[in-house]
Amino acid sequence: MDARMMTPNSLSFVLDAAEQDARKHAILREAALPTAPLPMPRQVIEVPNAGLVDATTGGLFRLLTLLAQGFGRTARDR
Amino acid sequence: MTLEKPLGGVHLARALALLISIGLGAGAAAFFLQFGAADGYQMVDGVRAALVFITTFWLAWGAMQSVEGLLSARAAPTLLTTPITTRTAILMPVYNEEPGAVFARVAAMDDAITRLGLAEHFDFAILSDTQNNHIAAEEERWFVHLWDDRQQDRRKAEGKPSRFFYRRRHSNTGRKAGNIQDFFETSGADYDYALILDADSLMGAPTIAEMVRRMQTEPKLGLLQTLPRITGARSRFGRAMQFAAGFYSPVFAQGQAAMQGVTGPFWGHNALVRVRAFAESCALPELSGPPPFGGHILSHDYVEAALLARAGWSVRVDPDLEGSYEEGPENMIDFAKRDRRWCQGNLQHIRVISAPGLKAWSRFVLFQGILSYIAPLFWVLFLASNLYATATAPEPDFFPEPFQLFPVFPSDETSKAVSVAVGVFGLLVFPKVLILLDATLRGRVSQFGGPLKALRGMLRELFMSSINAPIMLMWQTRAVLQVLRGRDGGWPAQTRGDGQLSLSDSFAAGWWIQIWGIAVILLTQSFAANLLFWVLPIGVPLVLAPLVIWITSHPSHSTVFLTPEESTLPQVIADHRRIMAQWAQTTAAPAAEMSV
Repeated sequence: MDARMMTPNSLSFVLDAAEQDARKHAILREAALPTAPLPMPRQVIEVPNAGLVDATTGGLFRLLTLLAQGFGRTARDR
Repeated sequence: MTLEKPLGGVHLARALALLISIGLGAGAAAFFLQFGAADGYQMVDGVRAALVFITTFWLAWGAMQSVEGLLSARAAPTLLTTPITTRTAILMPVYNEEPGAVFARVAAMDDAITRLGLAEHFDFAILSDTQNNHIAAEEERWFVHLWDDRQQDRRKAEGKPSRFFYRRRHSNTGRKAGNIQDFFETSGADYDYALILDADSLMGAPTIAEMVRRMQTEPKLGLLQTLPRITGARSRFGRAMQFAAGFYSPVFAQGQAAMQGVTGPFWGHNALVRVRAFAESCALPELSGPPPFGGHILSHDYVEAALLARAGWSVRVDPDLEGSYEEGPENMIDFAKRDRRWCQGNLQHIRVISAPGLKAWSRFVLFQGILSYIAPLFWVLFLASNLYATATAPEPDFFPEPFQLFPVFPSDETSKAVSVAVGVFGLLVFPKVLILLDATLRGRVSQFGGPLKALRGMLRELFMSSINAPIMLMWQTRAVLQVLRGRDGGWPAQTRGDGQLSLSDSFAAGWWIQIWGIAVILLTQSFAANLLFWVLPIGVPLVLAPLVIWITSHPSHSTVFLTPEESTLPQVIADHRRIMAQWAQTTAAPAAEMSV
């Protein structure tokens, strides 16, 4: 079945355009997301080279980090 | 009760897959080096051997996932019956979609949940990021229709809160990840869990309820991913993909689950998240610098899974969870467009792989994602290096010593190259054959029309994918090169519908591939004629690319690619179709009268 359907006009029998519009806005107000905020702390993905690659960092990780960050700098310079 | 895999088993599964894949890659490279260096070692022989190692390793890694999936398969766990005591928000993010079809999916899932008597535990939030004002206006009108259809006024009159929400962001900052984050920051505290969907997702109520029960039972479980089945495909291309996803993917997913343990995947939709876990660990930053490597993280799902694991939450895929559905692209062009977006997203993970504190497996998963898009580049380089090596091979010297009486024939190592080619082909076919055998022995094959029909499906899918693969290879190579050159692919809306293409559209998308095909065949014929036989299986599909794109977009009525969902329509899909039909009638009648 074709997924495309016509715009619903089922209210057109009983309501004129202005009333339909008013009702639509009232419903959209009722349907607004509930206010119950939850903080989402921004995660750290990029860190400065000095903080990440130190004496305790393993060799392979160190190499990967430098490669990735070097690549990142190249990309940023573009 | 927990469905987590024991850590020792997970490590064993990883080690086995890694060792065998590296071993097969190294073996193939050694064989190829002997073949290449038979006429004297040159630099290009080393390059070819290295490329053989990478490409064979990658294929073997895929094959090992299926083997591990078959080895670790066990009877599905008994469904939980514990009471649901929590509240879940079912999130439907939309972006320039067909509102009628999307909202009918919401209604179908609501019907299913209501039938189980669980309506009070689930709310629906349609989170619109639609930037097209005309479609946005349609969304609002369709939401009023959904509101009436779900009798929300009556519910309010009874003093109960509404269960359906609609919110549109006028700026789609952070795209889908930003859309979800905005919901959590606005309303997250009202819910224990959130079921994240895509606009084309459908999930059965028993599956949703089971996911919530598993989450309730396992307090450390941060994200539970299902394996969505592709449904509703109508074209030849779409149905072949649908068959492959239904027949092979459960085994591959089982293999992944065996290796991932609690550091599992998030595929962006058809997954349940613990709101608190997601909120405290998944707010993505913008990467420094401009796109394609900087800016918003496109393939956010992989990163969110890694961040959840970093924060100590379990992330798991449970392949036994059925009743999870999505739609797939109907033609190769739509597939390539989606692939272009995924390619940019996965390559952007080069910037994420070094994030502090990630689990080693999460880094490996990100690396895999990057490699999956770079691998085609290695195949192209392998082809080019072979053409170069053959064209520049020294003439055989039968009399290397002065005054030599008898000729010395160079060692013919061709059989080793043939062995590598056969081995590579085997790695592609072997998992599929194993899965067919397993499905036959376990009786799963009956859902696909029986062993013979499944065998025919497998052979036809193999044929189609060997024709499609070189064309996809060209698109993927172009995508990688575009991203590396710094070209941003943007965020195109997904195309849905029957997807049938005209010949001119197909030609517009595939003419450049055709030119490459002609060039590859001509170059091989001119400079390395003895390789022509090996190059034709790649060259011919390239030359025929526009035709292949066009033909595979045509409708398919064959029963060969029969899937379980085609033979027995799942309840939630039947509900969706019923609601679509009802809505089409109720909305068309007044419109028709008005037009008189």
